[in-house]
Amino acid sequence: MTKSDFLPTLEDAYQPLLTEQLDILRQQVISEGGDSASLQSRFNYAWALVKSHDVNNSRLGIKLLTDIYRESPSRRRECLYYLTIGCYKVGEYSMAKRYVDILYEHEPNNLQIKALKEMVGN
Amino acid sequence: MDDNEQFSQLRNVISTTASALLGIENLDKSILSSNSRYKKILSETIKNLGGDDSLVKLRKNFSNLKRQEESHDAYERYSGDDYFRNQLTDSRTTFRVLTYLSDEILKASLDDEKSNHDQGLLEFTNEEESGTKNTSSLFQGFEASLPILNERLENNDKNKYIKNSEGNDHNNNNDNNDDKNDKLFEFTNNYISSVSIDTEKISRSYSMKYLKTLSEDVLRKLNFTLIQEDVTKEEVEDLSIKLERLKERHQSACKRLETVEQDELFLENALSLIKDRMKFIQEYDLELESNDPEIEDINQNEKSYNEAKESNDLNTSQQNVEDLKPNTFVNNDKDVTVAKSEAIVSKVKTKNQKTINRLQRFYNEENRKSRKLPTTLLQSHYEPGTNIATIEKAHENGVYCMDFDMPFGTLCTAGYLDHTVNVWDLTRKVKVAEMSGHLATIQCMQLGSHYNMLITGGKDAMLKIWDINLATQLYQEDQSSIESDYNSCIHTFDSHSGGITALSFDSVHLVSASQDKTIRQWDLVNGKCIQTIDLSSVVKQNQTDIVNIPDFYSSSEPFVTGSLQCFDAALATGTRDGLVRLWDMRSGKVVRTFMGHTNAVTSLKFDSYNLISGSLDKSIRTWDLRTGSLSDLFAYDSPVYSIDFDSSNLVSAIGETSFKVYNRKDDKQWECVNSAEDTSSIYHVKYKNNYAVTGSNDGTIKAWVV
Repeated sequence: MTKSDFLPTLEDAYQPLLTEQLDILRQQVISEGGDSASLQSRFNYAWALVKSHDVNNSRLGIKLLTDIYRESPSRRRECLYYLTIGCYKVGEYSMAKRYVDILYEHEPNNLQIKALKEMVGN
Repeated sequence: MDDNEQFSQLRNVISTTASALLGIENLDKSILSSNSRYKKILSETIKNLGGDDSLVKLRKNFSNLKRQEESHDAYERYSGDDYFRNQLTDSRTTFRVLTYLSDEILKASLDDEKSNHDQGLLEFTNEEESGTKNTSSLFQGFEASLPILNERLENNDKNKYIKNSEGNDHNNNNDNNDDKNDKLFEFTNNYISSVSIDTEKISRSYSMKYLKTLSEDVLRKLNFTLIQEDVTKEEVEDLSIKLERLKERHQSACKRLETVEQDELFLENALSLIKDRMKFIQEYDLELESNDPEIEDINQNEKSYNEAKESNDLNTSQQNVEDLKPNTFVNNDKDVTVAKSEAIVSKVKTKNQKTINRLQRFYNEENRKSRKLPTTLLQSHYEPGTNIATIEKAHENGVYCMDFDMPFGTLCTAGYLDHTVNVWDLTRKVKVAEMSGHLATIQCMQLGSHYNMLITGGKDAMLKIWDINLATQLYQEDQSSIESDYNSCIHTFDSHSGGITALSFDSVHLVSASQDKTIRQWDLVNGKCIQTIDLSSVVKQNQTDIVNIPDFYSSSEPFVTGSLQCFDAALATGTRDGLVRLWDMRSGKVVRTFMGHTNAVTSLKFDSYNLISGSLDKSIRTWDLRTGSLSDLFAYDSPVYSIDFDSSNLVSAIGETSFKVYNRKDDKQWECVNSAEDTSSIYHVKYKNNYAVTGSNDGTIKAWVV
């Protein structure tokens, strides 16, 4: 990883973090006060969960992402993208499709979304 | 049937329902057909549940379960397994239910984002081309925090290693808790450490390859730090918004507390009124069968018929009318009518009633102070030193004396060359009454602690007792015609031959000191002078240097008696010769003299242990009442004009823009500083329960939290 892209690729979701790392992220969120923690910390934990091999961890990650989606309207498009990836990963293709369709509808010119849509479509 | 079985069936139903609702694409329509699993399970469950009892039990259990589930915090769970595991459905369905986003929310997001099109976060193609700085995505923030994460992991390992090498068997839970705080701290520290680059190596190196890789590395790190900057900035903004909100909430909560406390007082007053009324009715046995006011009227009419025969009845009916008085406290609208009826009553009774009678009549339940000190004190929610209220230009020529009954209560003030007493509501910061009657400057006053009354002493050698309730009523009526023959002054003590300089009273006695070098003790009930103490033989003409007293302090030389306080048979006086004397009022003799002040005593107060006095010799002395010795001394740059204290704080006014506060518990002294634009000097201070009121020479009154 030489350069940080604006959005993750689908592959990113399949690279799990160490359990220790996950734990630190979780502690971070808790120390900041659980639900009232900063957006970034919560996302960090959620995304780390999505990346996990464990299906249920990924699901929890998606749950947290949906919370973020509900709470911060300015991050919604972004979250929809992460949600698509997450749902795809845990095998909820219908949900993934629903999300990516809305994304695509909104940004038909976006290559990354296009690619994702194709993946989900398959 | 067993609860568990019921549950398992219910669980089946719910999970099938949920999957039917959510997974329309996946499941065919067959689930709703007659022999589908869904229907079968549903009917089975309903059949087996049977009686009402079991349903109720089930509901109870279910709601308990629900509550438990709601309290689960997603972040407290170690893994997703835990979080989604429950008795009712399988984890996949739970997950779907929990993460389901309705179409509305999804649509709403589109609409939202369309309107904020400029901020479209996913338009990275555009963003890169235009090169405009956009906020970084959450993912970028995540990536940026990874290196920090790794470093922290390493640190943790090291820490663990150290801990292990110390051979401490830590309890796992404790360990976690300890770490939590450390981690936050570490997090901030690590931002710095992640940037460390060996600059010496760069200046020494000649390998292009090495430098290239290094530059890439640095670029990447730079990229990270930029993103971190973004993230942190956003967090800072987020937090400041939250802080703002919390502040607002704090303020509104404080306000709410204020109103609630007022309501509490109001209700307590109402309650005491009701009790009084009930007592009255019982006492005179006036209870009527019906509460209907018309019947009451009829009864009164009957009584008036019998009037000629029995004179007693006249009295009772009169008392009836008179008893309307308490209502005035409760309802302002009623005030007018009631006050008028009162006036009528007073006219009916007319002149055969002497002022003394009026004084005695004053001491009844209705004028008793029904306000008790609120248990929660609002002032404790403010920072010490906060200015809570300011009343500008309360008096034309500066505040000369004042007193208040309790924090956020009633304040009475009098100004120099101003012959009226102003009454203020410290909560609403408005004038509620004005009482005139003195013919010269009012030089001292004290508010009653049991009755709603004020006693003032003026330069005109008169002492007056005022009914504050009545004064408030009259003020609200805007000084209508009644005023002339119905004055709020209940009684005037007029025996002194010189200006009154100090007074003090408890429940029975009033003690006043005058420039005629006497101290008089009065009976508050019959208004008669009980005792006169002549000071002329005791207090010699003062030989000390005359301190430059501001014009504001009218007299060119200090008062004979600057201050006094009485309590039961004990009387303390502070006089021009700088001596503080303790008198036994029964014998009229001095029992103890505190020597030390080198100039006139201006202010003194005692409690059960100490007597504190302030003097024009620029010092405040604390005396031990039992041993009679000096226990503390403060010296200032200017003469001390006014002091007040309780067990926790001693406040003093020395004619400067700020006033001094001495914390008697922590033994710390600080200054309560006025705002820069206010350059008036504070000469008067009164203090109760961490709440101080100051009066300045330009007529400004301020309330402070101390």
